[in-house]
Amino acid sequence: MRKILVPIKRVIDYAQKIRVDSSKGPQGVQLKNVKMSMNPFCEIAVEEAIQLKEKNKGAEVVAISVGPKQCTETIRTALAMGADRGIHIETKPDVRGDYVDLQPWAIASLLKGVVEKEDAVDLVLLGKQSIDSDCGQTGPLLAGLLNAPQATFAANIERGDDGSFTVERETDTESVLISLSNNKSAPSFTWQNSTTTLGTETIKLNACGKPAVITCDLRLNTPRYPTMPNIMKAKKKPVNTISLEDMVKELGLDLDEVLTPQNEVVEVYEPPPRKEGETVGSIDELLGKLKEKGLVA
Amino acid sequence: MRLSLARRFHSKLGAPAAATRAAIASSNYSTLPSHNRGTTTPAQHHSSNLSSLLSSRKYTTYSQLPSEHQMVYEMCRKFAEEELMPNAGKWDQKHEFPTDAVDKLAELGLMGINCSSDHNGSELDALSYAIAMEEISRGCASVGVIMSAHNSLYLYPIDAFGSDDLKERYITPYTGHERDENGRLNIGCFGLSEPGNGSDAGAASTTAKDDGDEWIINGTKAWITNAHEASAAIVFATTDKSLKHKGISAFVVPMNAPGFSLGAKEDKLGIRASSTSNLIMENVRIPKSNLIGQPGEGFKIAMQTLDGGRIGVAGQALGIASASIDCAVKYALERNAFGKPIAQLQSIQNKISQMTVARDSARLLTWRAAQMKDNGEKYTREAAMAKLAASEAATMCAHQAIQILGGMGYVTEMPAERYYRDARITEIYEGTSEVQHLVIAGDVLKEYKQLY
Repeated sequence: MRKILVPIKRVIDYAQKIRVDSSKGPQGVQLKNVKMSMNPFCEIAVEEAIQLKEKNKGAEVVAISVGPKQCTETIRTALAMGADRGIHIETKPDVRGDYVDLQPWAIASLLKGVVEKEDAVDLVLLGKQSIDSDCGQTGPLLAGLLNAPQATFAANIERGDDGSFTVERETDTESVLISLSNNKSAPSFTWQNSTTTLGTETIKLNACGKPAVITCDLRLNTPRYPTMPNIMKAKKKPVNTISLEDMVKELGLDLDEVLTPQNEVVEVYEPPPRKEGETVGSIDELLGKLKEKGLVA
Repeated sequence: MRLSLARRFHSKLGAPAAATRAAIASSNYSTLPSHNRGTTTPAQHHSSNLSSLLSSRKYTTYSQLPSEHQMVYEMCRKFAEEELMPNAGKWDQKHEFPTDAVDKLAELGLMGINCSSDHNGSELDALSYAIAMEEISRGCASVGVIMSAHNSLYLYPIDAFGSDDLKERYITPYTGHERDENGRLNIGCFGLSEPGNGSDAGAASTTAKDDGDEWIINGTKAWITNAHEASAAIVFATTDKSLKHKGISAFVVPMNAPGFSLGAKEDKLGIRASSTSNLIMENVRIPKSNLIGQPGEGFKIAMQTLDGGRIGVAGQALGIASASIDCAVKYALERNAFGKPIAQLQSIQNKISQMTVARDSARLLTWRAAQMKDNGEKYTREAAMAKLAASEAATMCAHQAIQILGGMGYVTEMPAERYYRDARITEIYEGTSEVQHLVIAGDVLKEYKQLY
């Protein structure tokens, strides 16, 4: 196994209460003095990458982030968890200061360029979605752009000796054990009916010369605490910082196209405050009310 | 003009007094010791060397900390919130040593935090240690004392004064990454206090007799933290009674040596998850090479060790204070009285403010002492001030937290009562508050005397 690329995103910390900031326009969220940290699903992706690196000696884990200069701290956390080096595509404070500006299409285009530039990338591990925009698009878009095999919502990843990845995915329905093969000459997917397992499905991504793209879900692993010695070592690991403009030029992309949002956020609003409940006198009354609201047949 | 004024006014008091007053009146304020001590800013440094400017920079707030210290803070805080806080009450109630949590602490590198990587240590500085101690103790004060006794009191003296051979035998296996034959972590303890002397450390009655290629240790040590989990102890014993405190030496004693036994576990008011008992040594034989440093150096080793230990204890006290403040403020925001949350009442606000000021000022003193230690400056006074301020802040904050919680603060359902019990010891061990006053005043007086 050679390189594992892990794109990570710096977002508002999951434990923070989000406040809508209408002064920033219809889609503003208050970001001043708000604690930021690594997206939890990205942490899971970093942890998985390090576990795979520990099982496959010689693999290199590269963490990459797109954002303002504080993203280097997020990258350092990934390094302290065990990643080997970092790439920081630095945006000016007004871009990616607010997540709506750079969207999945732009990120996926940049990542495609990085994957091709890095060469020898066997696997790209991403979080299934970020907790600020919740788009969940970057992974699938990247796989599409690279014409690479992908599996999303991974709950378990096993690497075969032939370089293939068998991924158990979270699904909402009863599932079937499937074997998919992405054959270079004839991209076809063969489905085999075997055992049924509730809520998951298993896919095998065959080694085909392209990196496998896998997005990680909650049950995949529990991210480790960075140990003290690793925090010290993280200081010495290299982080390559390059401005967004320079990277776009290097990859031969169009800066305007990258910066233009594909989606427009129309409005951001807080959910309505929880209304007071009603006290009812008896079980019959309760059933009556539930039927009235159409919650019970 | 100032000089003559002083002389006229005080001439009745006699020559020496007048001369002193005159001297003070005439002196330029900036040469008075207190203005120079520990307060040099980069602006006062006339060095144009960037690295020396950077090395003298003082961090006073979390946002100023370099990224590695911030990572230490984040990691310890997260660990404390997830692994320690939910279990601390149970461990306290059962007087249960938190073996799993301490194992995890060791895996994270917190049981060898200042040791060099040559001995599998984490090579972090004193400021990181102070930050780590505060966050861990905020989760569980007992885990805090287990960690501080092991790091500052056991590992430090061997690291600072021991031979390379001693370090190989007693530091490398003890930095948290090795296990003994029973799969347990190697933990150390520090034996200075005796039933007959605590603050009076120079009056050690434990003896060490020279017997060819061994020392024979006889005596009892009291109030030893980690006694029941440790496998090695730093023991201070008299090698030459005639030299009084200059006749005390420091030794590393393996606790499985024949003649070594433990007293019963003390039933304490607080930090109940950590074990405290006597160490009883009856003709315990240790190799000559187990002497730390030189014979007669023991008292100096003990004092220097306690200086660093005070930063750790200050960190622990800050953690208890912070936990008390968190508990009290959260409660005040939710509890309603007289039609609104009690946080809106002035009495409560006064308490919250007093608690925060006490905790924050103690934290600044602690960070100052830690940074002076890291810069290689003499920090005895500053460490004593930090420990004094932080321990008094802890007892005050815990006391007021119970007051803010009212009846709720008195019952075990809320952690306030445990913080109150845990805080109390910080004013006693590693030098009582009274001893800290003496250390501080002694140092201040010495400095003024040198000028006059």
